[in-house]
Amino acid sequence: MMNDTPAKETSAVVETEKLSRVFELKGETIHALKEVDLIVKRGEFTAVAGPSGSGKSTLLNLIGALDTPTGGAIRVEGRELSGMNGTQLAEMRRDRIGFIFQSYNLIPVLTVLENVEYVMLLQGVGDAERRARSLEVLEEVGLGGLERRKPSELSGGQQQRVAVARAIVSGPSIVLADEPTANLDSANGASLLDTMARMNKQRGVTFIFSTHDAMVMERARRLVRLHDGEIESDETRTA
Amino acid sequence: MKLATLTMAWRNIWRNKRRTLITGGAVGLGLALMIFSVCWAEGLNRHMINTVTRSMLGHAQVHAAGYRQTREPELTIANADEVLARVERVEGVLNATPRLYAEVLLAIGDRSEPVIGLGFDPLREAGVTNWSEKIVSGAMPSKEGQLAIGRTLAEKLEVEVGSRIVLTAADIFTGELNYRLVTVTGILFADNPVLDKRTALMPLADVQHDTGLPGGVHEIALALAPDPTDREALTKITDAIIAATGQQPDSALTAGQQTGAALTAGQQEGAALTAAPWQELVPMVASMVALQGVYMAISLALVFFLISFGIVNTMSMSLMERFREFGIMRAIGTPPGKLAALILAEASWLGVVGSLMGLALGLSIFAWFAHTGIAFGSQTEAMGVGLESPIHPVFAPVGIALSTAAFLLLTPLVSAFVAWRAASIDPVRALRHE
Repeated sequence: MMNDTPAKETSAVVETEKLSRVFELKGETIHALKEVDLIVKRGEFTAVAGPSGSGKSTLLNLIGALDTPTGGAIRVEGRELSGMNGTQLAEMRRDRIGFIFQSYNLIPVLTVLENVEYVMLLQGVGDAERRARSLEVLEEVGLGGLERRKPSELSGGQQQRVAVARAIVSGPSIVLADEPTANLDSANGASLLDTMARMNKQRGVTFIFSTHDAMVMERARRLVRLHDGEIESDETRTA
Repeated sequence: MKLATLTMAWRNIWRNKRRTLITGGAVGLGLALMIFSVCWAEGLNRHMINTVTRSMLGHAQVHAAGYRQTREPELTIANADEVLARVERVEGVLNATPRLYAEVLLAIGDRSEPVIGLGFDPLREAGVTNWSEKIVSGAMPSKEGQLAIGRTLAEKLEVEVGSRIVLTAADIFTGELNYRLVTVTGILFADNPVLDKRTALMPLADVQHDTGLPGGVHEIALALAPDPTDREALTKITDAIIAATGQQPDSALTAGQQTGAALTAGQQEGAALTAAPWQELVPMVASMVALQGVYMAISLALVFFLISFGIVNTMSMSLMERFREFGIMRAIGTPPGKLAALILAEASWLGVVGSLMGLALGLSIFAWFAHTGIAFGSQTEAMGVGLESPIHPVFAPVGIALSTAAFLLLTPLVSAFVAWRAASIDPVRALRHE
């Protein structure tokens, strides 16, 4: 599926500059990220790979405005995150960033459709538009007809595709996926990657996902390898 | 958005049905207890007020100024017939009855008892007190030379209906003793210990004659239209009575001056009058009734304090179990305030569910006991007021509404800390939580 034509890459969506994150844990100083410089352009389909503790999740948390750096800067669509307060960061996440987590992504009491609508509900999008956009995206990720089901009535793969739908439906600048296939079998994992790649192509959504799964790395158009909090390699592949 | 929060909250509380039902049940049990308590207190208050007013006082009384404080027999209401007629015309006065008190001695054989001779008008009195309903043997006195006494007094004197006893009374001006042979026509068992043990009910004219107070009246007892618990309404009527009779207390005359004083429209120069609602006449009972409200408020606070531990525990457990879910919600842009609102909405729903259970249970318990009453086995006395068993709880809409509102408001209020914790969740930490 990775022979799809990549979306047009134009400007930088994410820029990090000497990005550092230090944790103090039981008196020990841990340098999770060390002066990482990274630019992700619009429409990229990027994997951040590395062993456990390499800093993948920390990098995604910082780009996703979930955490604040101890050094350096991050810009998402040119907006500096480190100067933002909690409310501004929440708004940034709501309006500009989509998230897909490993598991238990969805709000269990909401139906598939309501889960997809949720972020737009926070944004104040009107009922009709919200409903139409959600149904359209659900159709695109192959979940048409399942909109009234509860997450517990879906398979793990289906739940992850709902998470993809929720992440892209509001038209974010970037979608961050933290090991999205980690809890799926290989068939479901491949299917989820197909869905993400299709959304990248059709909608031009920029994806950054962390992984240590070789199959996932193979399908990324750009592979950034982290080791001990530093970029070890940054490889862009052509179609 | 508010609707979405309420919908989510409603669904969330049913994720753990058993826990919601147990916590809701605890809230409901507390509310049911409060509902029954306020109805019981209302029933007890009304029973007590009814006993006090119907057994002796009436809803209000009119006296000559100073009589209530001194009980001087000379302090009669001047021109009592005219005053009585005017009082009866005041709006809100249902019935008025004149009374005259005297210290008398009842004697039969070698037994004697000093008692209060209470002269009354049997026809008028029936509109104010329930004495005629309390007759357990015979009938109320209706003509000269008759009297009715309480059962306890009758047992003490060893008399029964038809017994003839000697009544001795003193002329209040000359001190001359008047003796009269009277017939016991009725024996009553009243809710009022004073009436039951130390009073002889006699025709008004007999007491007036024996005490040398022809036409004399010490007291006019009244039955009024407003709810007897509404002191303000009763006071308005007593003020209107004073205005209608034109006799302010500061124009009090001496006993000698009162006797025989003329009273004409626009010129009331007889005795000054005072009129007071029952709350003023027996302030201890009124205070006790008022204290019931304080007692209820304290009970409510105590009951809710205990229940609040269950509510906070339930909400905290719910938060801990959904820690990661809250982290995800924060990550995808849910503002902290909305998470707090979600917790408060869940607590509110818990309050609603519990309150509905409490209303159903509390009203059912109330309905049962309102029908059967609660019997104490024998007559109980409180503050000198005999409480006849059984006592029935009375529907108290204001108390029920306030208790329910308190439970509905306090349930989210005690969950505020949990809501604050939800709003303070660090998404990164929460997302690591499994």
